[in-house]
Amino acid sequence: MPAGDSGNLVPSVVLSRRDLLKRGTGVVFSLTLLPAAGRGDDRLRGHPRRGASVPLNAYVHIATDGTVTICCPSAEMGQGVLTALPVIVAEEMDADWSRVIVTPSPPVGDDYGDPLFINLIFTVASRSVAGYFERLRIFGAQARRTLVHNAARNWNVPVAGLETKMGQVLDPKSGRHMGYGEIAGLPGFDVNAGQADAPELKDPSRFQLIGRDVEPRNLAAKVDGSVRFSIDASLPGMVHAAVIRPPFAGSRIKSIDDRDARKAPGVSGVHRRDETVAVVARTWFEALAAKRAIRVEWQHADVTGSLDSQQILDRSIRDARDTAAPGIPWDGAGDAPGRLAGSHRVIEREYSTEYMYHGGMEPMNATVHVHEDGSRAEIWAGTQAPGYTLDTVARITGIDAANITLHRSLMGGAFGRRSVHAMDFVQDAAWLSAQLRKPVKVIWDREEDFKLAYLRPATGQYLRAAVDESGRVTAWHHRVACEDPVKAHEPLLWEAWQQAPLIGMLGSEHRAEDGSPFDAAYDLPDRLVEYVAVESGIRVYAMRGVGAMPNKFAIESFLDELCAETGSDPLAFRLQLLHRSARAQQVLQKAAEISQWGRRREGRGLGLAYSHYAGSLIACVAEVSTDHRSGQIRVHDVWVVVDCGLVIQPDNLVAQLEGGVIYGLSNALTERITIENGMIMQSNFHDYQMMRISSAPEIHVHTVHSTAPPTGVGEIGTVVAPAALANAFAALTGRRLRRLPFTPEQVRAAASGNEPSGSNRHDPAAG
Amino acid sequence: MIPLRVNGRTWNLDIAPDTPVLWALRDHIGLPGTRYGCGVAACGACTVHLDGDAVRSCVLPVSAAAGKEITTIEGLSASGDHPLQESWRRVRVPQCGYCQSGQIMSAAALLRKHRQPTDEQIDTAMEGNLCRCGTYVRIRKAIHLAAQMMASGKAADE
Ligand code: FES
Ligand code: FES
Repeated sequence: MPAGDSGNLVPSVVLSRRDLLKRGTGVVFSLTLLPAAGRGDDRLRGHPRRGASVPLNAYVHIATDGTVTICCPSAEMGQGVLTALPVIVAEEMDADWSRVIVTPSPPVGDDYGDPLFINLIFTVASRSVAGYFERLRIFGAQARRTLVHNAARNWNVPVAGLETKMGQVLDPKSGRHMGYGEIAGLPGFDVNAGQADAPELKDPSRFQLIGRDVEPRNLAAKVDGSVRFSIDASLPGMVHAAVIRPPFAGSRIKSIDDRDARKAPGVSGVHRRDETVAVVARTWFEALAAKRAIRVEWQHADVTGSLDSQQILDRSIRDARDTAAPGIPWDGAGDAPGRLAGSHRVIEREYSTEYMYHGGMEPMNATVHVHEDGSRAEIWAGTQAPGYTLDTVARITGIDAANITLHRSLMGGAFGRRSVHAMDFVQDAAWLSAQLRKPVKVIWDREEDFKLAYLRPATGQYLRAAVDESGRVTAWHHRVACEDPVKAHEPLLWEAWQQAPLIGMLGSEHRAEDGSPFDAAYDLPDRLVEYVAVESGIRVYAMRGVGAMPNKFAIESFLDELCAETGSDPLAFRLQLLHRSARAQQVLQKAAEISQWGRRREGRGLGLAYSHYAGSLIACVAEVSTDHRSGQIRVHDVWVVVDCGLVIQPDNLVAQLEGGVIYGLSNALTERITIENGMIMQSNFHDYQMMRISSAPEIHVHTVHSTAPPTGVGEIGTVVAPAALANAFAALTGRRLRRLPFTPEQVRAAASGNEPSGSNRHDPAAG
Repeated sequence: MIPLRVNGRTWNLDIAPDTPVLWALRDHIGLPGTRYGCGVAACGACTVHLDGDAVRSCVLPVSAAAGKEITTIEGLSASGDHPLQESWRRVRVPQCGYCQSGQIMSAAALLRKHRQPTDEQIDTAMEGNLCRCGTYVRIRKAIHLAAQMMASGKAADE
């Protein structure tokens, strides 16, 4: 293996955005049914307001009464993007924020799509602010320029002397001013005025909205109950449906008894399409009650029927450990195998993480209305990938996507579940409405939602490192065995990403995420990171923090184990590995400072972890105690310090980190999906435990001041928190939790020393 | 016909007596602010008040609610100005917002019982309300703030 960073080990396209941008046009656009600029709902044009509305560009409309409508390409699921993105546009155009209306963008179109995701809107991977920042600034500045040029022409003065402020163009010389609405209403208003040159962007020191909290969109409605999600869709003539879908691919209906259901009150019919059964009724509860009276016997495909999560996990751990069977190289540099073979001291460990469930509080649902004559359709759905949603309904109904309107709804949580290519939660409303020609609302009851989960993949992880006399890492080898979701569940991205297992492996690499020199990764010049493919047929997908959560859990736990073996301090050890990055040093130092890292606490343990994700850097300290008898771990305080470049909405950023940390701790403490005989065994929140208020720690968030371009924070708290928790437990008890989640059984096993551990090899011949 | 009293108004519903109040509210009466999360009293999204006590409307049959007073998030205050709604806005509790009606209804029942609740009392009263977005830290803060506001008489009682 060549020395130095051999980027060629990793398919460069995976992590290189620039590459993708360059190749963008070459990617075959497989959503063939989509028109160039599909239909959004007409809110952008028809929003109730006074005065005509003039489109300035793809993102900005101005009404003659001064109202500015800004559209938001990303989907709102609680992360605050309906506020954060329009703020960027409003900033550059010097709009009066109190006169701004926000509306979802059309569901497809080049101006709205993400080059990394084949130019579709894809609200995932903490990318919204980072991915749209520049584009939104340009559109905002363009809008401003158009207005200024029109005012200049009207006043017959040079453009250069004019200023803008709070929705007005001012002429300081004469003292004249004109509101944006008034300008838009000028006879002969020219939308193309001033568009010849690239617009000038504001100097960040002049930002008025960016960096200051504005009121989050829909805040009042979320507090008085008037906010609406897709599950609240209510249309004249609408019927409701409850469905039974096959548990896993390959399962077929062997027999079905729906006699009682057909006779149940309110039921208008029991319908079937392939292996899906749907009960249609006057109200949803009637549909549900009738569904419960249906008996279905499944004929599982052989492979499906034998699916067993414990076996898959055991095999994953075994495969990860089996270094004789080479994996698919994901990241590498130098000569790790050679150095490991020649080293006197090699430390190795195994870790594992289990299947998990997204758990958004709004169960999957969608409403579709295929109009009477079958020529048009409307969709009400909360979706992270609106292009997929349109395409799915177009395919099922046979209606051209140009004649389908998608009402992009707010989502009661998503966490990755609502971006799946299959758009399974939209399908049934589409075929039912195509048959019935009336609005059909399909809600999955929570049990169905569990049964049809797209799980966070389980992982088996094997790590080994060579250390020299001074305790420094001289070689690093990491193998992740898991089922990456992209191949089986994202066919278009699998092609576009050149078959890279991006969802499962993210976070295990020690290099730039975007292919540029990124020194916030640990300096491990001799390293090999491999993907060990598991192909079981379990439905897996991206879930908040994707592979980075399990992978950082393993990496950060292993680093602390190396510290324990070599007598190093976890903070100093990481600082040394991050010697190339002042920003990384800063987040770690600051976290140590605000958590009082050096202060011992009676009966409490402190754990540290560091991660970089979606371009942001984070350090996290968790303080825990434990009750050995019950096996409960209590997390008291969590401190996080994040560097995510320029901050758009400070309070929202804090909220995202609080929520992300809670999500990660919840995953780490209690969450586990098990599968037996091809069936998911958990069915609701009584047997799938998610964190509740009494377990929630105090969370202290500190943001590093930065003027670097903004980067994402929606998932990074989830990525870093589990490792900090495991390290805190080890600091407290001297015992290591290597099996996540840290259920009471795991905790008791670790405390009594029965936890399977790794080994330390001091003799190179033994390896 | 089953008479159901909701937010001070009586509805006569032609509805099966075992229909949960949740679905009567959402699909019959047209009050969707009360949310469906689990249907088995495990998440709290459907919390309403029954004669002032917090109950899970997904497991409360309409037959058991007849003759009692149901209050939903829409009826908690005249114009969204209950002290908890005020404090919820100030602390900016909601993320996706889906669980928040239930959170606020549970908190409102708590504040009736304990005007100055401790953290432990908050944990006990709010334990049944899941928030997958993880707004718990802010929920605690907002309940304390509302209690303070009520004590200092800043806002009218419910
Ligand atoms: S929907 Fe009633 S408690 Fe979950
Ligand atoms: S705010 Fe999203 S579930 Fe609570």
